[in-house]
Amino acid sequence: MDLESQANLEEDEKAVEAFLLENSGRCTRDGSVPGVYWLEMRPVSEQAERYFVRVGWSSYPHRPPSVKFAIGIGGVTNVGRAWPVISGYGPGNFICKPFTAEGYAAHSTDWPNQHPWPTTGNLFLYVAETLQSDLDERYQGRAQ
Amino acid sequence: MPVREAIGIKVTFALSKEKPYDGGEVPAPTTVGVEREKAMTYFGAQPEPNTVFYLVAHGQRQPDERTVGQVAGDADEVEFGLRKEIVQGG
Repeated sequence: MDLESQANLEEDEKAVEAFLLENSGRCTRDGSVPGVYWLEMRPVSEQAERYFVRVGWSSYPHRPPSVKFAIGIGGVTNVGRAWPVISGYGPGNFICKPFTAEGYAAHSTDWPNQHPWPTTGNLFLYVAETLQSDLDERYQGRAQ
Repeated sequence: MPVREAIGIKVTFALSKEKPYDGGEVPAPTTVGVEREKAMTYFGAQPEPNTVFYLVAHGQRQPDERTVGQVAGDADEVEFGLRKEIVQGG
């Protein structure tokens, strides 16, 4: 990750931290990989549940991030039970929605035209808000 | 408890570098939808196919038909977040 992206992220991460705190969550910057953050999030309907999301930016804000659920901060992402059941989310695999690098890669022929990745504003906050909305409004429980 | 006649409105939007929208004080019966449209105009957010815009407050989506007075409850003002959602999965 280039220095400009790192500087942009550092500026925008404060709003993400504030947003997650308001939603009983937390944001932690990865100590070893630049551009990687670990989000702790809860569905509003099940406050006892905790999910850990690895958000990895390659170029900020120019490209969508890799977004995967993990067993914990720094944990692996290929365990189904670490993931929530939400339409468009493939537990243990990837999120096929137009806010993730994985989704855009799977739809490389249509989404860049239908849903071009936005580059204006706080894109990190946009991703966090989208994840929280999915957890609050479309959550069907923990994957098995 | 006195009924509030006017509610202060502010709206933030992650996909904009603009300052938050300051709607000033509006009559309490004003609907959320009216304020959403004003905020979209301020932020230059255009309706798009397969995309919905909505306001959230207190961590919850606020239906367009709700009034700002209902959202505010006992408060003098409400800070909304404008959300853009693409309603198409893979």
